[in-house]
Amino acid sequence: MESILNIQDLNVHFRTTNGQIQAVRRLNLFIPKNKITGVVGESGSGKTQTFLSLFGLSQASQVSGKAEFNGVDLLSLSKSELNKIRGRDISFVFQDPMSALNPYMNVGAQILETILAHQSLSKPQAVHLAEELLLSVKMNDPRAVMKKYPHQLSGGQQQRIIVAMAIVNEPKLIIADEPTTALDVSIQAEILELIQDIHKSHSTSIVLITHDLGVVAQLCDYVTVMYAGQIVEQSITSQFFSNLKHPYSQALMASVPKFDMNQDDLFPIPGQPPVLDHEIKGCPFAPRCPHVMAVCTVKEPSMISVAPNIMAACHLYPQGAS
Amino acid sequence: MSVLSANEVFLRYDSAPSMFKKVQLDDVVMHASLRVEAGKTLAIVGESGSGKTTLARSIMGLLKPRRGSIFFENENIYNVSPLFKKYIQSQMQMVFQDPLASLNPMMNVREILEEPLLTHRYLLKESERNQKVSDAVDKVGLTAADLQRYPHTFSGGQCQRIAIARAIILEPKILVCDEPVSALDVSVQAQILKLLLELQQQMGMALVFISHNLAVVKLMAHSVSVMYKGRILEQGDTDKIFSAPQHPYTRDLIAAVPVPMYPVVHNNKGRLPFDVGLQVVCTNGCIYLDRCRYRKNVCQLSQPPLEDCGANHKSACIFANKLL
Repeated sequence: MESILNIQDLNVHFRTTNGQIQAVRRLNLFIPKNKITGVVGESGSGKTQTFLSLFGLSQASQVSGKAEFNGVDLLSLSKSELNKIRGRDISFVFQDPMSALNPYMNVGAQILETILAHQSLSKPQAVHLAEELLLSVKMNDPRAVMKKYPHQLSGGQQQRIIVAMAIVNEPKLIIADEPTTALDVSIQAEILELIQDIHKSHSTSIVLITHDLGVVAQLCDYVTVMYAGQIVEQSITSQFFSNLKHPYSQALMASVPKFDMNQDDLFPIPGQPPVLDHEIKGCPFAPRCPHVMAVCTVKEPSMISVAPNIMAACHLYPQGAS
Repeated sequence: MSVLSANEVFLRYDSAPSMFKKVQLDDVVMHASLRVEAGKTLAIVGESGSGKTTLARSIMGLLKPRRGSIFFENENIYNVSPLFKKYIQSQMQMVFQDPLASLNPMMNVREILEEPLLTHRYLLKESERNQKVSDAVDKVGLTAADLQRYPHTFSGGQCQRIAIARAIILEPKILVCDEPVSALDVSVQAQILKLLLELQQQMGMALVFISHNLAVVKLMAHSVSVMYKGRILEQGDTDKIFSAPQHPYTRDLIAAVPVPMYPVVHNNKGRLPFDVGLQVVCTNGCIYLDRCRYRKNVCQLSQPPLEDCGANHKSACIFANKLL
């Protein structure tokens, strides 16, 4: 399988008044080409920082490792080289559409800005392209929409504009960071459909960062579960939900309310995720894990293949068998 | 027996007073009727802007209805003596969405928990007060050592536990929870839901549970009211609302929830696209008309009232029980 992005040994550290926070620790991640990869985790698990830091968008004090995108190591690029890639080869869709749009510019000007920064088109050509684009994200009457300011649009419409801006330069990779978390459930369904349509028609590779396992089931081909700055499980969606391997994935699934469960079927995960201000010895999930063993607090488990298409980092599975 | 009932409540916010004119805005809640049964959970679901929080504020005695009335144990809460109103307030407590913002950053946990006692139970001796504080802390799963700490030193889930402790310390008959878990991490949400269920069992209080998450509502509530654009469109026992919804909006809402299961069952076929382009406001006719996939010409005439469509089940659709 071909990769669009291959991350090796990524570390992202932050300096705070309380010392150093290790937001992402020794992370290896392979993002396959032309597929939708879901990255699941709680807040603080490092799922957002992993991707922000690669593209120079993070406030981190230290980023180290390697990230191969399209044959180049992203972490070795200068600012101006990154600027050429961002928005053209890689684009972003963020959680809160209102704060991702500039409140002082009308929507049309913002879309044109994105087009003209990366494509050598005349203004009328760019306007024409922008109008086509708005139709393709199912905004009727694009001319009227382009004259509107962000606050005049609903959250769902704003997110459609953001999605339009993300696809305008036909990027190779779209990073969608919780694209529907700020939206109502009925609007969420529409935006998810839109992302799926774009994936199908342009066969763009997409990374979908989310905490909602339902969104993963609907959209993603592959799933990566993160906990405490590390990957604990990687799986193919068609097997993930029926064959959860890592105790954290299992516990997460059991703690999410679902339609077909009653009150006794809901099992909260005890305790809190760890604070990453010190080196964690052994498995980060050990203090909350129902299957914890002596080895878990001493030795960090490595990612191994535990079943076809499934990898997990857990001592329950014989280490070194891979 | 119902501890609280709202009858045909209309609510509106007035705009900020201006020197020249008083701008009246439209009603944000219309024809809202609810009954909260003792010890049971009533859920209000709806999207943002549907008026669910406004209705909850009114139930709490914070927003006087323009029309209609709200009764707490046979007393109209907007038409009682100040002393009795204070008693009612002690019997109805609230838990908010953002746990950190709902706690005073200048107070430690002990002060936060003592405040309701000093306001409503001012005759208590200090020893009795301390006993109540430590009981409450115990019930929500915090420790006595936490009493000296300040809110910002706790995680979101723990802050919500403090907010719940503050709400239950007066042993209220009704606990209004406005999106109590939507700001929390996935793995912590279930902890708080379980805690609310346990406390309800122990203390026998009624819960008014406001949420946009239908899976959570199904788990928590005995009965459900579905709100849309300020109106209750469907109301009834939780089982019925989820197994045989009788309003198209409820159906669309349930179908829109992404289910963590593979392969995905797509049950939202035929749903009409909404939030597309610039919205056309329909003046008369059913408020769900522009999104409804079952619409007929007759729906343009007027907004159907919320009417019985089965035992303990009401729907505001003229095709209730006839939807395919």
